[in-house]
Amino acid sequence: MSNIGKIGEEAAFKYLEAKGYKIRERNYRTYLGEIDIISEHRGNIIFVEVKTRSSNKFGYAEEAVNSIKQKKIIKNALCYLNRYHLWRINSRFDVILISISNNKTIKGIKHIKNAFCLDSNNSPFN
Amino acid sequence: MLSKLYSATIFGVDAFIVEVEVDIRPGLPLFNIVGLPDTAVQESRERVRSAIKNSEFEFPMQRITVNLAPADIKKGGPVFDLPIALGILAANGQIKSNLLDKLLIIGELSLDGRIKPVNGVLPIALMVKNLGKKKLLLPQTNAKEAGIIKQLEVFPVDSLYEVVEFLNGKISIEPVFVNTKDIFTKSNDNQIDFTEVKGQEHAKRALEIAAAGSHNVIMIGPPGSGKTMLARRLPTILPSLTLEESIEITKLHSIANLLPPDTPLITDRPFRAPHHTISNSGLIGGGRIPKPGEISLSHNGVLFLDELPEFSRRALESLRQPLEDGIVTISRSLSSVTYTSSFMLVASLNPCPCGFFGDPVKTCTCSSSQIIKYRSKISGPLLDRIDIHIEVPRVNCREVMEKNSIENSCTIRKRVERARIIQRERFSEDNIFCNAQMSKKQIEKYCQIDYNCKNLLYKAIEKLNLSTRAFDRILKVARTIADLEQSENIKISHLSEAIQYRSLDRKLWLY
Repeated sequence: MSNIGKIGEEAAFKYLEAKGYKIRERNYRTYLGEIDIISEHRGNIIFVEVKTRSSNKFGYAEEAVNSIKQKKIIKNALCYLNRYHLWRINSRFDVILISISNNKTIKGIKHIKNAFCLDSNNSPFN
Repeated sequence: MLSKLYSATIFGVDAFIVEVEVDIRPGLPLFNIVGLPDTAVQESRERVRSAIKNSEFEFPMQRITVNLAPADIKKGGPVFDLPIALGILAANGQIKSNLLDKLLIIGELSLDGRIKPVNGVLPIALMVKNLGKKKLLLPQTNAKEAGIIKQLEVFPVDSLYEVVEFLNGKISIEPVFVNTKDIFTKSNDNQIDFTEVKGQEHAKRALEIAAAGSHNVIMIGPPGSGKTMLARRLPTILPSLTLEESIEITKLHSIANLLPPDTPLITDRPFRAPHHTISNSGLIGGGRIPKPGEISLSHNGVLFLDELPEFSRRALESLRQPLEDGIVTISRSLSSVTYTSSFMLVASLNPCPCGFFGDPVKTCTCSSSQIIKYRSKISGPLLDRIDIHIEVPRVNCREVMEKNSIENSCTIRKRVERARIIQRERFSEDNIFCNAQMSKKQIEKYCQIDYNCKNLLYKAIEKLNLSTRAFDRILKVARTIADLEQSENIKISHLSEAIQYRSLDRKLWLY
């Protein structure tokens, strides 16, 4: 993983902790892919994808979490829920966007709650 | 954040309102259009995205859902580009205006934010008027088309940026009004004139009657006798259009995207001369969502079929019902549409494949079976629906070239106009325009004939073996001849002239 990505994930981790989120896993990895952060907040399981960008030259960070990426995250999340038998708990998918400047300082954090859900575009079942 | 605007789309000849709802929710960027959009509407997502970015506005990086209501009717075409773009900007807070729900908005966007013209503006404008709305926002090029409807405020716009400035109250746009009188008084100098046709006075008289009552005509004669020349000059003696007729024609042309730019109203009667290879649906109208065909495009005008037997039999027979009813209903699995098609059919044909059957000078080289085959293309039922049959014989060259005193189109047209005025007054309560459109009931009411006339007509029918439909048609033509002579009643001379225009019914088939 690139350096910029690590800085971003660290920033997101600190941001969530400060907001009172309990972090369950970081970089949860299976053969299906990786989830950056899995946390718990007010009885919900929250799967977080962190995107870090130093410029918008190649499109917005929001656009980088496309349906293919979403599908991977969803599959992985189902794996996690199955493993710990968490089916009765509500869960959601968040995206945290971090923009950093050239000298690696954090410029801004944007937290999109409930950024996507299972629908026909990203369902792993079809 | 939700915004709601109004747009419209066409179904058949009529328009209906479409509510465009735009909802923006937080989430990953997604742009969905629901409400049975077709491919052109789905593609408008890309146009809207680029147009907003290139007009220096912000395209929201959020979940955008666009709903087109009513959700159960299929919507097509690019008319929704502009309302969708404005809906997004309004939901995003970049437009703050209380004008939005009073406007009806249509327009196609290009990637750089300019607004392009769309089809079918006149039907939409008429619908807006009928619904009691007042304001219409549409592309500059289409503005005149809607401007002819007096009760509307029509705002022409050129670019997305301009629209947003206007809605935010930063600039004002002058509404467009078009004075319909100006359009109609424009001089229409014809390139062609009836003086160019030498001789054939009998055919000219028959065409004058046809023009006066909008009767169907068939011309039969050898090649080079002037059939096509006569038909091409028919529009020069047709009466000028009324505003209602003009609107009906313009509506159909607007839907078919045949309206020339900067022409708000079609002021000349249409003259359509399709090639004889035309398909059935090209003639009648058709398509998955039916579009008007040639018979509808020649509504209130002339449909000229040159070399009638060369047309496919299927196409010709499909003319039968529209000729009778003046409307055509096209049914497809997806939809059924009714178009008006009250046209005047003008057909021409040779008497046989080589063209010289019955000619006094040249001998015909066709075998009798060839001739039978050729003529069987035109069925009895079709011929029955044609009121006036004209024989256009070969003319003697020397005789004709030296003739001079011939009437020009203008004089003939004046007589035709006079006859039409009589008809319009007579039918003021009947919702029709001319004698050819009379129904059975109206024939009984307006075509009263005395005892002598009746006797003549019955005799003619017996002798010539005419059908009862031909009986009605003769009365209609007689009525027109009487109108041309400004006579209130149909006299025996009018009736006998009308009867002799049925010559093809028997003569042609005797050989």
